[in-house]
Amino acid sequence: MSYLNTSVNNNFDMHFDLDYNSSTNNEIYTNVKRIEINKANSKAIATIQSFSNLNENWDSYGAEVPTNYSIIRAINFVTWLSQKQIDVYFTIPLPDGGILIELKENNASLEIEFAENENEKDSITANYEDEVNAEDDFNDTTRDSYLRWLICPDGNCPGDL
Amino acid sequence: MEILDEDNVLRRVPTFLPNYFKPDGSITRVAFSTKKDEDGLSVNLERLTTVEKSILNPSKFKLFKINVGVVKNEINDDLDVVYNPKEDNEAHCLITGNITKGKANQLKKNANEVNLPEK
Repeated sequence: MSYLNTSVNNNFDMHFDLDYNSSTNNEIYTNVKRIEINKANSKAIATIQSFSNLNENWDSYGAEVPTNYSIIRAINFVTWLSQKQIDVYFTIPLPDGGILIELKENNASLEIEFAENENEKDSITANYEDEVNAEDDFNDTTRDSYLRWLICPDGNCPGDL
Repeated sequence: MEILDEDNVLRRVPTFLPNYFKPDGSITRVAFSTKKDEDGLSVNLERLTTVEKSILNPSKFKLFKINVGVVKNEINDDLDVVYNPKEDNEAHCLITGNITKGKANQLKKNANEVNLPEK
């Protein structure tokens, strides 16, 4: 059994011991509470964490290494998604040092872009059949409304969404 | 140098650490997005380069081709392709204009993968 050990030391003080080959779910212990992370999201967290090992110019067009600022917030978001039992579909670094997380349901998807620093805004984009449908700054309000559009467009949403 | 509608331009897409291909095999529009400080999207003019030269490292990148006429006339909306040679790359061009997420999506949809020639 192989374990991925990752540590992120920042204001959030989180430590992960994730086994993303395991058939069982992983758990993240924060200084607040224990959060169960499923296999898909464990793998997404490991992938995001691995972006810190990229070299400058990783895309051959001058891309910058993802910043701790974007990495920490992307991981926090995946942890939040896990609490809502929502899986990450796809994640990549952005050329300016940010992180993109994509969620997908049938022909609809959401792209959340975590900016590289606090001077830039995070954004959320809704796509339907691979066309941009709507776009906003990312905050708690847009996060919840866009997630409702993705997951429960008929209005029959889980209680905590 | 005049860039013709018949011309094609080439763009590298990362395939390994990180991988711009999604689980369903499609590529992300980010492959056709510019950085904030860029004057345009870097591409190579196909007729002034080779696949081998443009791909740089086939174990890390795939190469995609897009037609200049499609960029200028179909995706349109102020996009242009301008010749922008570099000291180490005479084929270098820029797709200029405001490349929004929607336009990056259009560029992605109109791009076709270029296979390496057989040895």
